[in-house]
Amino acid sequence: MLIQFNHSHIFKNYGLIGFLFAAIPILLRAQTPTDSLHAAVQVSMSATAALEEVPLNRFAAYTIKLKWQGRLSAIEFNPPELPQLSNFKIAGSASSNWVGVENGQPTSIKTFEYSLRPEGLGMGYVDGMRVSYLDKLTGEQHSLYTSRVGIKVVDPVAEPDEAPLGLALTVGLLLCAGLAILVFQMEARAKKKAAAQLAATAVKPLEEEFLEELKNTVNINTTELKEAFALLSKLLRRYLNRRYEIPVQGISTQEVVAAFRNLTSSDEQTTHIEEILQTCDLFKFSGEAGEPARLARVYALTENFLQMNRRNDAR
Amino acid sequence: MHVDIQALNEKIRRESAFVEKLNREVAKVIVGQKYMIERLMIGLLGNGHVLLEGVPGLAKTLAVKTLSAAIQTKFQRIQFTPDLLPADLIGTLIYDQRNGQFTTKKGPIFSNLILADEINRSPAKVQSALLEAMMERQVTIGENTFKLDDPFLVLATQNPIEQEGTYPLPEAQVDRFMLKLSVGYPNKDEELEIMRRMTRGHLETVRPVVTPADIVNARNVVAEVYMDEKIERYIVDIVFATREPKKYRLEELEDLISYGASPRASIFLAQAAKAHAFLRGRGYVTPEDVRAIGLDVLRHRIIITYEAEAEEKTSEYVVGQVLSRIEVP
Repeated sequence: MLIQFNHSHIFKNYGLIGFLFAAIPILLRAQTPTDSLHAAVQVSMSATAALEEVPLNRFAAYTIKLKWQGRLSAIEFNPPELPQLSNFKIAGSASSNWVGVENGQPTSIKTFEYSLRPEGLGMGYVDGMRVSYLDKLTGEQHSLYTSRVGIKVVDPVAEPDEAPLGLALTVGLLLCAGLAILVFQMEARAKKKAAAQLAATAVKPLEEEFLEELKNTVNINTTELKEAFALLSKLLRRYLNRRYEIPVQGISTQEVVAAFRNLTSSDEQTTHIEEILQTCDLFKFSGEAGEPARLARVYALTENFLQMNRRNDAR
Repeated sequence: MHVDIQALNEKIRRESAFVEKLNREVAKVIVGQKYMIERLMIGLLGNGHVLLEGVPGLAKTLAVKTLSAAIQTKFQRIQFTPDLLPADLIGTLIYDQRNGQFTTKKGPIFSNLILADEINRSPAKVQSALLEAMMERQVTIGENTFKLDDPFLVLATQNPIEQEGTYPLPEAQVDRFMLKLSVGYPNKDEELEIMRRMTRGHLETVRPVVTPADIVNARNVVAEVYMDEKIERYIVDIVFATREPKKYRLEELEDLISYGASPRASIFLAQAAKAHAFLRGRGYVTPEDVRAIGLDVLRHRIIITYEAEAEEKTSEYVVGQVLSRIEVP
């Protein structure tokens, strides 16, 4: 903070004593040698690492110290470049100033500190960097260069509060076991609930479902006969898949019939299935216009087949 | 589109009458091997060449010879050897000292049925000469180009074992065969019958029962066999599934296929399916026809990866998966 004195006011009120007090700072200022000579300030620099070795799980400290004789404000530093690093990454940086008297001379020190995080075992380096400053007394710009500093990264040291591995493993296993028991119990409860719900609701027979679909989707009075044959064939194939687990998706009519023959003892049913699917294939793939009578027949055969299966199941 | 399928079926029944006669005649000499004989017929009717692969002694050569004998047509057997030259196959120009001019001497390829026996024993230049003739159905000797006779069918055989000293056909050339058949061993009863027939001292004589005109007529009818758009789309889906298995929920095949089947596969699959329907006396193609012939059309058109080889997964496995997973229409 700058304090300004009003000289005339002092003379008026305090006379000579006031004059002397007011003159002291002026006299002292006249005696400062640097100001009167405008000489260049000598800045010395040192760049050091706190330790030659650093464990992998610790930080290395890298310090650049600039020292000169004179006031702190005599030198103005440009923002320093970031150091070029190998095997390190900058974790943090700081700067500080120190002003004092050494050998009777006012001395200033500016310090830049970098905290470096090691990246891997082996040697790491902080390459030389440039520090530029402006000598405010002469108005000259100067640069100083640090030299390359090597720091060895060694094996990590044990953390003082690190829990033993065995203990962590045991705790982890116990947690997992607890979680597994919890999940198992929840699953069992959900299954029980689902089973109870299933028992509560009456199950619709598969045949009932397909008979209803047949009624709703295939119209024997339609003019789109080809489409009706395709729908009927698809419906029967889906039924055979769900009821007999025949993989109908990727197999031809002949293969479906052969698979059905292997699963049932009824020759009549096999013949009906064959007739239904082959008739549908004929109108699906031959380009021939469908015949309503043929559609009515395969519709009846399909309906009959589904009803027969429903009756057999009921028995 | 309305198709008179009754009339077409009737026409097919009429035109395919020779098939039964031909089968009976071939069965005089060949025991079993119904699958191979049927595929040879499909090649003949679908106008596509056939490559037969199987271990020695499975009557591959005999089957082709017998089939040719049953057809009243020109037949040539060419034994492929390492010293065979293209000129030995297609012919050459010979200098006539009497008139001081070059005359053309046509090679054995100028025939209706060619049996290229052990095609992988000849170097690439001979294979190329044959395969070029197969595709273009014409041969150029000197400055003259000659059209090959119709029907022109190449039935080539190769042996999957004893690979030393052979020249495996490049994939691009194998692609020109409509079908690649993997000929298997006969069953016990067939083997017994083969043994009895061959130790009897004489083989039945095969009479020619079919004329080239019958074959050409039948081919025209095969082309008329109706293929619905659903079947066409089914074929395209099968072929595309070999190229982009992921899109067809066949993710597990993605790493097994290096290159999928070419558009030639779609063409040949359609032709072969029509021929298959014709042999069943049907005037329209069903998914069954496509599935029946799918493996023989596709097995040599899919290039599998090193990963597939390491896992001992063959192109047959890939095709099998595709055929069983693509939804039939």
